[in-house]
Amino acid sequence: MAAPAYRRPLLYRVLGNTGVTLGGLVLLAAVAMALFAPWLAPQDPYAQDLTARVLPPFWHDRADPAHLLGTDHLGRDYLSRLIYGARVSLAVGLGVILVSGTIGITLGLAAGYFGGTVDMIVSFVVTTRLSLPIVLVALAAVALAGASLSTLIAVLGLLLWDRFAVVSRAAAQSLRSRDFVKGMRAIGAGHLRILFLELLPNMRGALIVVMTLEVANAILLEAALSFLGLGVRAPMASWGLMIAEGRENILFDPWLIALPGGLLCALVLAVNLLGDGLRDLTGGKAK
Amino acid sequence: MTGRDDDIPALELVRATKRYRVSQGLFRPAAELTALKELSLVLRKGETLGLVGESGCGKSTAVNAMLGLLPLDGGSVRLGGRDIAAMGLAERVRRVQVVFQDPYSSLNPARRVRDLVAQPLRLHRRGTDPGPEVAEMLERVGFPARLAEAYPAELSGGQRQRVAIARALVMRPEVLICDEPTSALDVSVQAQVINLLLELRRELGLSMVFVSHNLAVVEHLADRVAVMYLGEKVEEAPVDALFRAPRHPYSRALLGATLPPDPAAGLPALGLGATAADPLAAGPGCAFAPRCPLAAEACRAAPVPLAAQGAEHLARCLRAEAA
Amino acid sequence: MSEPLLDLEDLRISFPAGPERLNAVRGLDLRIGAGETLCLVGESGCGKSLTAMSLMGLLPREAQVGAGRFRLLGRDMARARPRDWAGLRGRGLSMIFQDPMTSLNPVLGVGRQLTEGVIATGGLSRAAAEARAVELLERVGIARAASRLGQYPHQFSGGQRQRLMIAMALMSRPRLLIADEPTTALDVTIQAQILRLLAELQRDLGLGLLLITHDLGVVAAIADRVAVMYAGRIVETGPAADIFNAPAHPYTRGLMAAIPVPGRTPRGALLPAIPGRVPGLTGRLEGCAFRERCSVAVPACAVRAPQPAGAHRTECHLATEAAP
Repeated sequence: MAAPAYRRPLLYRVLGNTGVTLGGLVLLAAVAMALFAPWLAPQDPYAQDLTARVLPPFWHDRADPAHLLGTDHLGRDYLSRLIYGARVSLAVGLGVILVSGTIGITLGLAAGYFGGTVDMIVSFVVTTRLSLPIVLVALAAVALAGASLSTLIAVLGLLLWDRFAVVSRAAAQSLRSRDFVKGMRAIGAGHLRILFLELLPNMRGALIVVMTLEVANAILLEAALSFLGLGVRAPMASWGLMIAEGRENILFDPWLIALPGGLLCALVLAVNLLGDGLRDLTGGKAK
Repeated sequence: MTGRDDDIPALELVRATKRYRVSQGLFRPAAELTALKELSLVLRKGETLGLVGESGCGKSTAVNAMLGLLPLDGGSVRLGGRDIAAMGLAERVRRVQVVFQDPYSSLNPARRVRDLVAQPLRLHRRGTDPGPEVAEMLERVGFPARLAEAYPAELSGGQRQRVAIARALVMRPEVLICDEPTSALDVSVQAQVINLLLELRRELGLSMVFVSHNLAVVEHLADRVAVMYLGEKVEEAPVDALFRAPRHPYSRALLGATLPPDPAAGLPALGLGATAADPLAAGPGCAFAPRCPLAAEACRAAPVPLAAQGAEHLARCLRAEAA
Repeated sequence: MSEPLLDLEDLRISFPAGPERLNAVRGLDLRIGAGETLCLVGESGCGKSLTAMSLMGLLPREAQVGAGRFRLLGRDMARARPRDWAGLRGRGLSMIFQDPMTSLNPVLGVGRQLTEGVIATGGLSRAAAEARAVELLERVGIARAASRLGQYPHQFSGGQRQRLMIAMALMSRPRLLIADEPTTALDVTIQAQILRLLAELQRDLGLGLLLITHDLGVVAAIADRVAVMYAGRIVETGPAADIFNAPAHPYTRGLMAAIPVPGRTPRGALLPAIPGRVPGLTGRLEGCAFRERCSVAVPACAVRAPQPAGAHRTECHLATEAAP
């Protein structure tokens, strides 16, 4: 009886991987923040109080104990706005990869599996997409359609699918020639079933990595567009928008930028760490 | 069709022809490659037909055609007397199934053994629980029940090939096509799989097409053998006749190149020179003529027909008597 | 009598595998003399390819190698460093791999691939190296060799690529040639040509040839001596005729019986397959590794049998009694 190749249980391997543990914890915290924002936020994030404008956070002498992280230029509680801001970032991250993943994976699978003309057309579309500068196109589209969260998600989703397409195309190409595909045809399975139920599960390792990259990418783009005033609309709390609103006070009240900036940085780093770690974990297994 | 039901062959290729266009580079016109050239084969019920030839001879194309996965450019494939192209999916699947050479690539690595075997049933017999049939089939192929939840990566080559066989047979097909099912396996495992196929063939009354380049294995399993060269059948005979008195020079070369485990046999004979088969360089005559030690002028001039060489023995050679 | 090209005693190769070690080669003795063809036979996972890699100094970094004696071409390689290996490879020691397509660089002309090794290490001029390449290509049966030096690997057929590999291996005038499954990827008629070629070259140039294969037909065609490997050890070794005519180890006999031989095996009969599968090699293996699959195993098999001296040696307590 041959002993199976030695492998530690999944939980141990996950915990043994610093990137996955650390990234996962930070992401989990952000998700919790977004989901439970109404209960976590100490104050109403939209309530203005012009008498208490630009209060500093708790480590300053002038700090108000009611506003742990101070207030912004309209006197809104900064901690509450930061907590609500996680909602926008995560909604954009998730929404964008749902749209872009669906588009990219469908195109890539079809191109890699069918080859020939389908592949030529998809490759052309991918090349066209790659020749578009994302930020400029997003700016133009948002300017045309009007700034809102759903427009932002739709526009970014329609722009960020290229990596999904390229990766799933390559994976489908290498899997297509395996005999199990011919075997599925021999038992009478249709192309759609083979594509989505047989080939797709074999690419999850690669696709998870792309997914994390794109989530981070989308979150950063949302922040950038909001900063430029073309993302989330004004009363809503978005970390990018908060940075934009705080930029006039950058010299005297740097925490207005440092706090949302730091959170953004931590979230993007966490997502990337998680992706890297997951790639390492699944890499050895994916054959 | 006339006669009793038993006379209808389980599987039949009638002048099956398949051509591919092969790109020869940017500035040259695409060449036409005939992968199957009017290939006719008959597999009688309960019989095992060996199909031998080297890479590029059209074996794989023939297998795809037999499975109904390949639109032909001419001729037809018939299962139980009915054209496979006109047949419904469910019926086709019930009549013919396949076991591939490489069990490392023929099982989806993302699925468990039980799922893999149940898949054909789930596709074609919705609503019934495939569990009992899957368990029975796994037991029949000698696969340990405790490994039914395993993934293919956790299994040995022999175990994987058992799973592949169980999956092919779970729909109880009449015809099983074995595409080099033992060539990727170790010697000791190869014997286990051959034995399993022998037992299953007897128990289930299977008709089998056994595709291989290993003549010793074909000799052991087959009743009749067809030899293919560049898409054509060059010889067909009962296994005895073919191994005792091959008539086509290519069949003789194949037999001569097979190495028995006997040091007294010495180094294999070289009847073919150093050239290899080139499908694009075929002239009007016999495709084997460029490599043939017996080739005469007449061989190169015009296509050579299949000619009877004895009872059920056909060979496509003008100089079959010259050897 | 001169020193053998390879004199190996008690070779051990192991890899880290979780908390234990995977002992892939567990004490292997091998000798090859000049002008001799030794076939190392075994099934996948028995350690035969690792043995070949260790003879080229090409094992992966995490492998741990040890040997009681490791003399190769007259040098002691037991504690050799990478530099010592580089001094042997391409200077007396060459290897042919199974798959010529992955071993040839697709974007370099074959002439350059053939000559660059000897120009770099052998100190040959380009003209002299090309002359030798043409001579060798003609020797391995590639016609119009001079005009084909500028061509690329894809312009050669499968059999011709394997000939290229052989020519490349011979460029440095090796004394010991290691061939790892050199014909497994080839069609049978091409295999016959390549085996003939190897046998001729070996005889004409007086090479030592270590041929690694799982195909007993190939062994019978070309071997002077045979070593049968199981679970990291050589369980039987001897002159080819002895091994085939009177196999003594139950594993060897099992292998011989498991392959159908036209005219000898009754057609359609069940083959006497070896039951079970190879043991895992992690940790220590006591006694005979084959005993769980062996039909004649006795309690004594829990302790490894001594190998008697002589040309035909078998590591089995029952070798003499069990022999037919």
